[in-house]
Amino acid sequence: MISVTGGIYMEQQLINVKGLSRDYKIAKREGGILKFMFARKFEMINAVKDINFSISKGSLVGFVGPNGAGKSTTIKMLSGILAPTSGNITVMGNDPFKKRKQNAYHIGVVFGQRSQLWWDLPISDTFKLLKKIYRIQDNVYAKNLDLFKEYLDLESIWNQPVRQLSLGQRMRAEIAASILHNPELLFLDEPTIGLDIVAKRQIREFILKLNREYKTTVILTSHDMKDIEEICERIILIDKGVIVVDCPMTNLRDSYNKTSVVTVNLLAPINEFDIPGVKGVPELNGLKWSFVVDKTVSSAGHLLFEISKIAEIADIEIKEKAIEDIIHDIYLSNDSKILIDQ
Amino acid sequence: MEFLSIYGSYVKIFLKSRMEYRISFFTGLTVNFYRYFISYITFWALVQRFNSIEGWSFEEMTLLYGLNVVTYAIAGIFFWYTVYHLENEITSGNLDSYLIRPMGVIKQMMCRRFGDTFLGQILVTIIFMILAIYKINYRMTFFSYIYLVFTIIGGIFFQAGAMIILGSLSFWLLRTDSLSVTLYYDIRSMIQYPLTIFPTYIGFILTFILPYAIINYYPSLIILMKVQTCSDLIIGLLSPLIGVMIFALSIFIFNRGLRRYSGSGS
Repeated sequence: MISVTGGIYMEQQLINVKGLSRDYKIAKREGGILKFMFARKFEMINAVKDINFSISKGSLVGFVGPNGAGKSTTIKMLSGILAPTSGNITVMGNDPFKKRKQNAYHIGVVFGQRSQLWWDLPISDTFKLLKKIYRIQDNVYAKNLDLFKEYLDLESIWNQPVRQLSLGQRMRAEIAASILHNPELLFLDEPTIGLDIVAKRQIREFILKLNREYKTTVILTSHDMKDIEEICERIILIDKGVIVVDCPMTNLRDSYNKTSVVTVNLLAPINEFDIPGVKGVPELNGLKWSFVVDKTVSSAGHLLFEISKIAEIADIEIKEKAIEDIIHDIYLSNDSKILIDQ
Repeated sequence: MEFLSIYGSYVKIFLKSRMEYRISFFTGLTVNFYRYFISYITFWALVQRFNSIEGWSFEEMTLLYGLNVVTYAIAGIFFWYTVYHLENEITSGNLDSYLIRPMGVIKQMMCRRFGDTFLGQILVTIIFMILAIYKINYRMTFFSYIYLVFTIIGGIFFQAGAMIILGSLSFWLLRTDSLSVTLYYDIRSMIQYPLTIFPTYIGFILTFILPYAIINYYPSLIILMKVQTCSDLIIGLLSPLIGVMIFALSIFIFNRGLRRYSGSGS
């Protein structure tokens, strides 16, 4: 890993976050109306607690966590909307909050739940305004429009008012609008929310293409684990304001998925299996058996080898845990860990 | 000026979008035109009945009232829909979208909504003011005309400043609409009459606490040669400058509020 010292921006590290915390002060709703109005007590909520990470140029990072975990707060701090309560952020060498306008040229932001397009106007008009705001050169603008028309299918909806667009069409336009100025860094906060499979797939493919061809760094939040799985190389899992997991996508499976489920269909029923270390559950009067294999001591291959010594196998199915389930397990285990800590 | 060019593009595109709802656009204009037209007619009827109000003729009343309306409406074109209603911008999350663009937040809000509905009242006010000035122009000198221009500019800054300050309250308070209506509309409505019809303490409030009277009353005294005391003259001459100062103050307050919103202030 490349180290960054003294705030000097090194090419490879696009984002550096050190000891980042963010608190919110909220009024406690207790006592009568008068008490609430005049003698309010405040409570501090720690939305983000002392998190650290860096993100290198060109990476695809998934921010995952349950609602209220601190994902959006972190993205708002990275994009300069919110100031940190304490800690340090540099995005391309700048403090995104103190150099808000400068930072804005380098980032694109899509909030899936909110539109940046002009509701009553065709997207062509919104794009013209963005061109002026970001001072985009004519040739860059023309080139990007060609790209969007080709890969995001904007040609057919170019002159239609936004209010007439489907959610999928609108989201494609939103993404195009957020990268019109060629930002090095793209934040996508729930870009596929409410979309159908076709639209989701199209957006995932475009994000990957953008990353391949322009080395755009993408930070994505989504509750759809398929998005994360297909797009991201790295996953940062936040829960209760703390980073719980930060690892390459491929490691997540290996380190958190300790078991797989092997199901075999047999040609003739068998009443009992006697394989050490593995427990089987019979179904269909012994014609079908399911085994949970602990990958730290055994493997599916070894199990099948053992079974084939006893019975004839008609069909096999090996189920790995889905990413969604792994993450669900991590949320749960994190809960219990916190309980034990207290 | 780059901002003017951006603002121009926004207005052009906004008007295009308003044309999608042509009927609503023109009804908005006409309703505003009529509402203010009726105000002037009411004044006319009142002055006809009593000959004058505290020695102010219909033409003089028109100047007084018109200065308030025209400065309010011009400032409103830029600030009323978004900055004055900042509460909506915060709750809708629009404010976050402004913060990710490389442009000042107030500038973006000015661009975001062109206050087309104010055009009606500007039109009717200009008509009545021109008619009034035409009738009293024998009393006006070259200096009065120059001073009138400065008064209008200063008044626009004053009204804009008031809208920005009242909008900024949303950064500190959750709901501000009724408070703003009282502070801005109810209290300011008193300046459509000469200050002398009110008890002294109200005159004091409108001059020094919520100094709306510098928008129209003190300048009108100078233009209409009604100045009686030295302090009237000084306040009148300083009025345009005070307007600009209040505008500067409002920007300061807005930025403090924005810092509070983002959490870097207290």
